[in-house]
Amino acid sequence: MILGYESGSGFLYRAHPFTVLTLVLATLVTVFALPALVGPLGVLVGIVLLAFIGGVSKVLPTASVLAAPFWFFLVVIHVILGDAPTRALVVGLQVSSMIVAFLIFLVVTHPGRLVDAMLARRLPAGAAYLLASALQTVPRLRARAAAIRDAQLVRGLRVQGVGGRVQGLLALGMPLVLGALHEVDERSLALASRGVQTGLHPTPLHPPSDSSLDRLARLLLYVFIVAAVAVRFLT
Amino acid sequence: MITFESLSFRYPSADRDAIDGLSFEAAPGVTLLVGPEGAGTSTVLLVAAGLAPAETGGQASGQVRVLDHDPTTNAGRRELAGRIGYLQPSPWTQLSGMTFSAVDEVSFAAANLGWERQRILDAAQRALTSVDAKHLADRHPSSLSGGELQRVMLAAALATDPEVLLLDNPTSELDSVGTRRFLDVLASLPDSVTVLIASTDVDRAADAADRVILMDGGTVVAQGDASILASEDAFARDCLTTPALIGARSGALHPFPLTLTELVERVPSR
Amino acid sequence: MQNNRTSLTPRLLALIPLAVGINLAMGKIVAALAIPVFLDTVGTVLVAALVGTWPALITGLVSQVTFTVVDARIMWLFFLPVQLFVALYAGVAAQRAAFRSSVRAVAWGLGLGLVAATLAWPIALYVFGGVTAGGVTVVTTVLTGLGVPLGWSVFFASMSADLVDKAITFLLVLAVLRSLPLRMAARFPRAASALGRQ
Repeated sequence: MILGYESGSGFLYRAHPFTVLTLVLATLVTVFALPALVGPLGVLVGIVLLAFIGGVSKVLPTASVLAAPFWFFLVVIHVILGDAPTRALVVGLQVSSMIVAFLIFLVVTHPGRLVDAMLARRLPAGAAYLLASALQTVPRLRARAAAIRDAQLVRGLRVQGVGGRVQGLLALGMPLVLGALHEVDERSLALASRGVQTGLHPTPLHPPSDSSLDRLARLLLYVFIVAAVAVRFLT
Repeated sequence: MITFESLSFRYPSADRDAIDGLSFEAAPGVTLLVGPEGAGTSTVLLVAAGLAPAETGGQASGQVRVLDHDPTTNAGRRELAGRIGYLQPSPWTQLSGMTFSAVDEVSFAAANLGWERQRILDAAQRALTSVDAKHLADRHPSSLSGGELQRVMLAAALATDPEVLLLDNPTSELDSVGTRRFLDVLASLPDSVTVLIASTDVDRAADAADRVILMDGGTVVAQGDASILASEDAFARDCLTTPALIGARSGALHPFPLTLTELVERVPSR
Repeated sequence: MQNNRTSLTPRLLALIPLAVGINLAMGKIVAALAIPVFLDTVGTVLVAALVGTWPALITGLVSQVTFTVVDARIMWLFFLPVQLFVALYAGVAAQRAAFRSSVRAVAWGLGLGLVAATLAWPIALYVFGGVTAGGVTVVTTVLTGLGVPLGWSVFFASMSADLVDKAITFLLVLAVLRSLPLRMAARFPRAASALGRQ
């Protein structure tokens, strides 16, 4: 399973993060805007081809794993229990396209590079910092939650019956939440002492290059998006 | 240069002042603040750094000047931005969490000050080299050990070439080799830098300190050279150096010996 | 080089990522207890109760984006409106002293569950054909199998999940607010009004 950045080479790696993000946006909009069944099918074929050409076909096995439960339940609900096989097929293609496009973005985009791209584009520093910080806080707190869970279970926490479960939830949830709140004071002092609120825009340390090819690609993707939406509303 | 004049400070919801009518002056060089738990040494650093009361909340009265600016006012903090390096005791909560490598972490403050890119990268490399952590540059901050992280955070505090360094227990995660290196870094700073260290590790910090201030209950009990760390005042507050403590415990060695050499010299030989 | 758009204080820059972390880490805990809930809005509701609606909205936004990225499931992004609504609702709830008593907290939580489910089901139905997260989809499937029309199946499935989820979320936040040490509570003045003590 590839769920995040993995180093590699190829034009998708060299592309500006916003270009790849625009690709995801284009996929999101066009799978819904273009007429079914041909539209979503075409987008899926296109995005899978792009994964091969861009040298990131390694995302396809993961994409299949993520898409499989969708297909399963779509078939059960709409084909076996219902009678809308076309709907199942369309939704399946839409979801699969989105999954592949998003995995491509995740695998080629180092979060630090995205943050630098946001700073270089002079987007609010707070937004870039919150994203970077949240991405790094989640694994830390997840590990801590798992540690608290294991410790309490070892100490013989009972998890039977509704009351027991709610009690257990408090016994496990409270230390996690209070522990996190305890960090707030020290962390905010550290951030304040390191100049996060000077009113100046931070300097991006490794701004990704934004080539004319990038700009052209984004322009084409925007045209594609607008055209797809126009097709939707004009036909 | 740092000056406190009859400064008092109380944290929100606290029932007594953390700093109580404190007056002292710290000239360029290394000043060591020592005192028992709750003496207020950490709070002195927070006030000097402009973090208390601005970030902590609470009430301050009296006068404080850092490099001729008042860090308790917005105007003063603007003037002081980037000229003060502040280090918390726990390097983990000091991490910005917003960078993905040690060198970027060291660059964080300078980047926030809007420095030009090449200047930041050069300053970060210099700072990492000065704490002997150049090899850690590309490591992810969360993969560093406590000691490595403390060195990286010291580099981060040094990277903006601050004129004032405020260090709260800066060697808490360092082993004896790391601490000695840290003292070397302090010794290599330009003479014009004012360093204020709050430390419980009096043995090692005593070697580096030009002046020592003994605090208790938020105010100054005694100040002078390192010999304060072998005084009755320090004894009463559990702030003696280990040789002084040994001298005191073994009885009747008065005044207590400050250093190991002194201790050995004065222990009667058989 | 002035930039006045950075209006987030260091305190919020410290608090919000931790709240997002809480939202995403709770799953680890509920999995151990076999309770059919997500508790993925505990951090958002907590921020609403501690500092207010705006920071809660930002927490909701960052949470949903982070959720989407960390789990590599772009589908979560479509449920962003639900997170934002939770933040708005929790902001109002905190102002109205929703955490004065456990009964009150559960009632406000159930109210949120009702609205959140109402908001989530059209997204689940129209965008994803009724197929979303594991447990909810199983309920949908069973109901459909019993002959319930798809729209109602998705609605009931969302509702059963959200009612319990949001009631427990509010209870947990209440417990946290009550056990805040005095020194910490003093730094979050809004906590007192959320508890109905002001």
